[in-house]
Amino acid sequence: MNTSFQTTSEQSLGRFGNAQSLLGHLDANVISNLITTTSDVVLVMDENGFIEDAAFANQELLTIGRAHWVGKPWGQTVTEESRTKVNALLRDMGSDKSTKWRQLNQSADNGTDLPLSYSVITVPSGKTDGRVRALAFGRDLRPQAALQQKVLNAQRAMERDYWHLKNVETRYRLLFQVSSEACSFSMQTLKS
Amino acid sequence: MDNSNQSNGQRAEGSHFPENSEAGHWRGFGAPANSRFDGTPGSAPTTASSSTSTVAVLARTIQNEIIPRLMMAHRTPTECAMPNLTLPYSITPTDVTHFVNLLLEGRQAEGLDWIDEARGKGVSIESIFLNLLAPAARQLGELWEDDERDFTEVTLGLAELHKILHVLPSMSELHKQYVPNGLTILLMPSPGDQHTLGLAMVAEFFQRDGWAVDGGTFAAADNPALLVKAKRYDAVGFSLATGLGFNRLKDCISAIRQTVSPDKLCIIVGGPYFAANRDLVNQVGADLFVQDANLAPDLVQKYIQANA
Repeated sequence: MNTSFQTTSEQSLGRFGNAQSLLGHLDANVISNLITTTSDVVLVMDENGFIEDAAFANQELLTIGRAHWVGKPWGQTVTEESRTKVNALLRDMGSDKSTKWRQLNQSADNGTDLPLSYSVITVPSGKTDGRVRALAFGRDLRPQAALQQKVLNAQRAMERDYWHLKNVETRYRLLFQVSSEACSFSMQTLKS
Repeated sequence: MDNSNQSNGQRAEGSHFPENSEAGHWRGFGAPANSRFDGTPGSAPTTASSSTSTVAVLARTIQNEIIPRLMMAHRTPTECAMPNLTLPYSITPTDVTHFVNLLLEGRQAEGLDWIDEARGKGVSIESIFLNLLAPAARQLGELWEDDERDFTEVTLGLAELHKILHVLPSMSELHKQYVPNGLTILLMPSPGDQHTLGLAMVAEFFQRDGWAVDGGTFAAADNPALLVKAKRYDAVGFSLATGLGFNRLKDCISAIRQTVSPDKLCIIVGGPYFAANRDLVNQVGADLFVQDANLAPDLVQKYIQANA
């Protein structure tokens, strides 16, 4: 693997047709800006999955990520059920193709978790220290998670109604079963 | 009804409904003219012909009006009435995958049709719960774990499963043997836990076995310690999906124990997290772990009786 970009002959879905002539002359600063702009979070990791550096699209993510993620293994910064996903992402490193997007929850200091979707791409060993690194591109899923929560809340409200209805049904079915007397109900009875 | 009719009615009761002869029983109603209502020598009333006619009318009335009503009143539910002449259909993993795909593709109506069809083949409602809906929920979770589907799709899929639970007839309705056992359980998700489908299903099984069930899937925001203080419960059940909520649940159970003494309240836990970590059941402060929803009500009832 010599380059993370592909030439025209290797063009595939979602890649530039002529990356070398378009982007080949860019220096590290410009590339850094480009990378930062395209994702909400970018983690730079060594071959063992330690987060060496990170870039963030906004101040809030910067505050959380800079303090709690950088310098730790990536797997330690996510919630328990997301560790398998991080391991899978790291396992998929090594090819020049980006891994598939995986949704995971990354821990924040205030006890809440940040839902993020990550894809990892391996960067070839550089001239500086000869080490292979990986870039993890993260998309902030909080807006979708907020919508999801609204759906859940609406569902819960319906559950409450359903539960109440079912309890009333059970109560009156039982009453009809055991009673040999005629019964009459008022709306007030049914509401109780 | 005059005396002669009454007399015949008594005789009929005494001699014409053989306890051990269904054939005689039905023959009496099927052909009243040929039955012993048709003028038995020695005991026939003086107005034999009018009496015979009255008895025939009475027999017809019983046959056409009373028997159907008795049958309506005492009919057994379909699944009890149908003898298991053939083995009921067994739901396969392929069926579950097919069902999950229907949910994810927005074809819930077809999913419900499939359930109807399976029930027509003798699959019990319990089996639908345990072998179709529960595995479908697990499979939806796995699709997220493998990132084959995103969490929005999985959330909507689970919401569809909840809806299906509501559409299906409740177990306590299907099983007419439903008799309240006088026990009340509060079922709640663990604090902060969003996974509630299993809980909704467990609630069905408890209700089927005569428990009064409070709480429910919507109760996540309620405080269990306050609820057990406000009303007397025999048991409280929590479900926990992941280890994230373990400490919160432990604190919650501890708060309940401070309110109600352990000998008066059985605390049960269930859910995927405890299924994988049985040793943590004691650590969280629970009395019982339940895995099989079908057996859970009986297990808890026995525990309560043993500790009474």
